[in-house]
Amino acid sequence: MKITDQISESLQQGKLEDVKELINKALEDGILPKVILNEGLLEGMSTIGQKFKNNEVFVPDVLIAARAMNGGIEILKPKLVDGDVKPIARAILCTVKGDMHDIGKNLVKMMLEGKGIEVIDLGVNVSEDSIVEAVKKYKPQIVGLSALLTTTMHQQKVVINSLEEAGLRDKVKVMVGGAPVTQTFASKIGADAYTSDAATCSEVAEKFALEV
Amino acid sequence: MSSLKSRERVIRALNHKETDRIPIDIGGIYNLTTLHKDAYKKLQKYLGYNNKITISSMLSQTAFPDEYVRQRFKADCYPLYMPLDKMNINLQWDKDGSSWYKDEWGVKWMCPANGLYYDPVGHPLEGCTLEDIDKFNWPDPNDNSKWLGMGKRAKDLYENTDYALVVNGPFNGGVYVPCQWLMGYEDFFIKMMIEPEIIEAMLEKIVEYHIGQWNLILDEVGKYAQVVVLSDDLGTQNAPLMRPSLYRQLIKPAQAKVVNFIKSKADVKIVYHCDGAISEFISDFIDIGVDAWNPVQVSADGMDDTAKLKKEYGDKLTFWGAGCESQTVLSTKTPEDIREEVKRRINDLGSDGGLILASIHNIQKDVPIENIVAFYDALYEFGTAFYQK
Ligand code: B12
Repeated sequence: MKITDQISESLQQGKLEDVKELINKALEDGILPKVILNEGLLEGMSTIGQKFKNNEVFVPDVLIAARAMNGGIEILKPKLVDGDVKPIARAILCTVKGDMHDIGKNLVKMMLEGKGIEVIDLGVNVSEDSIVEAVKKYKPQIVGLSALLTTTMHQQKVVINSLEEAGLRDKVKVMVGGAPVTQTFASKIGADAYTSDAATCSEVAEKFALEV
Repeated sequence: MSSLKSRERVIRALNHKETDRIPIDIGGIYNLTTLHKDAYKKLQKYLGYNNKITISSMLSQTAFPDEYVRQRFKADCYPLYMPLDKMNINLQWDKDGSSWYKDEWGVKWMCPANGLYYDPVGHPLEGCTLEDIDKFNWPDPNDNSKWLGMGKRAKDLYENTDYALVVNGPFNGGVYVPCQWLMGYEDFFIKMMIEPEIIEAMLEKIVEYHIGQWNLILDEVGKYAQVVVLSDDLGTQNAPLMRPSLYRQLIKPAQAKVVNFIKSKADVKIVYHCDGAISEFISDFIDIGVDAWNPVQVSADGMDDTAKLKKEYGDKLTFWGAGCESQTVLSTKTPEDIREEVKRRINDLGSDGGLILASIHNIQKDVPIENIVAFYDALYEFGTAFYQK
């Protein structure tokens, strides 16, 4: 098996130490850091995302895979030259005001990062004003909003309105998700995309990134 | 069938026997089958009064339904629980308007400014080792200070009312969930995979606490109560929260110990709360001796076909909840739609007992008042009509 495939395998099993060891070995073998990143780590993360989407693996599996990815990136970081790691896009991500659920949002973050998208995570219970501020400050291409409650999903609409008022709506793609959110709801509130899982979210975000 | 008393009705339903009408629970599970205080406020206003609301659960900010509400909607269950004043909550306010407190475990619970609930945000055992668990200042499982007086209340309710008494105990019934409060959600999930021995050690402590506390609680109320509540979430909207094999290896044995102890101690039925898409776990619940399952979140994947659930598990498990889909129908559809939905769920789940009707999780603030009333009235109307067909 190719060493990058081995890295991807170990990452999917969440084996942090193996991933580190294999990366060091790959570097010794003269494989380019960029290749290790893309064909090993990011490839592995993308595969685990697909498996998660198909219910073959679950939240804990994704978390340990992401942990292995981050551990691997730590080693590669000093070796990567600027051009290698330029993120394909920047996203702002949060759970909306009134809502404290963050397990799903965090998985979305990991998957986006797995696609090479830089994520500014604003956390949970984030107001529309803070989001507008962050959009001004970080100029992201994507804004991702998570809501898990019927009492907070409407806040996604409030955020979209605030972006409009601030004249920023057409500068970003707004993606929405979370348990009670549906495509119908997303269309109604004028979001650019809804997906029911984190892996598909990262694919759609990647598409948006390549469009811009 | 001639008319039954509430307690008898609930017992018969839990024993899979027909009843005069299908029993109804409003607030028996004090933090899960009631209404958020803001929804309750609307209900009071609609009913034409405005009493001070008793908050039953700090976390959920739910109302303890008063006698008028129970009678008006024919509720059959009554909660026994530790009242808030026994929790010694020392509420702090931050400049941004959020409020928080620490419980006796050192878990920090926070409600943001204008928030609706308290949620765990500070975890004293995040990143813990086996040694940390050993050294941690675990509250005494044999401390009975919280439950003193519950026996007297239970006796009084038992002798002077007809209600079925539902006991809500330590950790809101959580066996593994307290681990998430203590170490944080992500840390818990990661440790499950890579350091299961830490999870096992913590579960051992929590089981010990449960058993100590249930021993005291059931000494007080065992003679009078009919139902005990346990609760551990295992589902997301579309999948199990964790690998079923991992659940079976780590969590199920801990839950089984608590269930066994409770059942050995008192003649009670156990209702187990678990949200989400959990088809794969239902036989495990039956396996460990759970009698009823709440809330049957019909909007989660694989949960909508309630007729099939009844066919597969109905002879062994009572469905406690299931009244009306709560992510779209209850909050956004019309009273007529709600009536249709209630009727459908009753038809699917009502035969041969084994159904106790309730909302699916608490009724939240966003549900319009006419929907709340239509929902509760429909429970009684169709729950009565069902057996009279
Ligand atoms: C775990 C959980 C909790 C935990 C949350 C811990 C945490 N740190 O996140 C705790 C116990 C704290 C909690 C609290 C509450 N909860 Co809760 N909770 C759940 C539960 C069981 C699982 C949610 C979860 O983590 N899923 C796992 C993740 C991976 O899935 P996910 O979040 O859906 O995310 C996926 C997709 O939705 C998508 N996605 C997510 N975000 C985004 C964003 C974008 C942009 C995109 C594209 C996609 C996307 O990708 C993710 C991965 O594939 C659900 C049940 C359910 N059916 O979902 C109830 C649930 C959401 N909770 C519910 C309730 C009522 C509450 C409380 C109000 C209870 C109470 N105390 O009274 C509080 C409110 C807290 C608050 N202020 O927000 C209800 C909501 C009902 C309603 N009317 O809407 C649910 C549906 C349970 C039920 N049976 O009704 N909860």
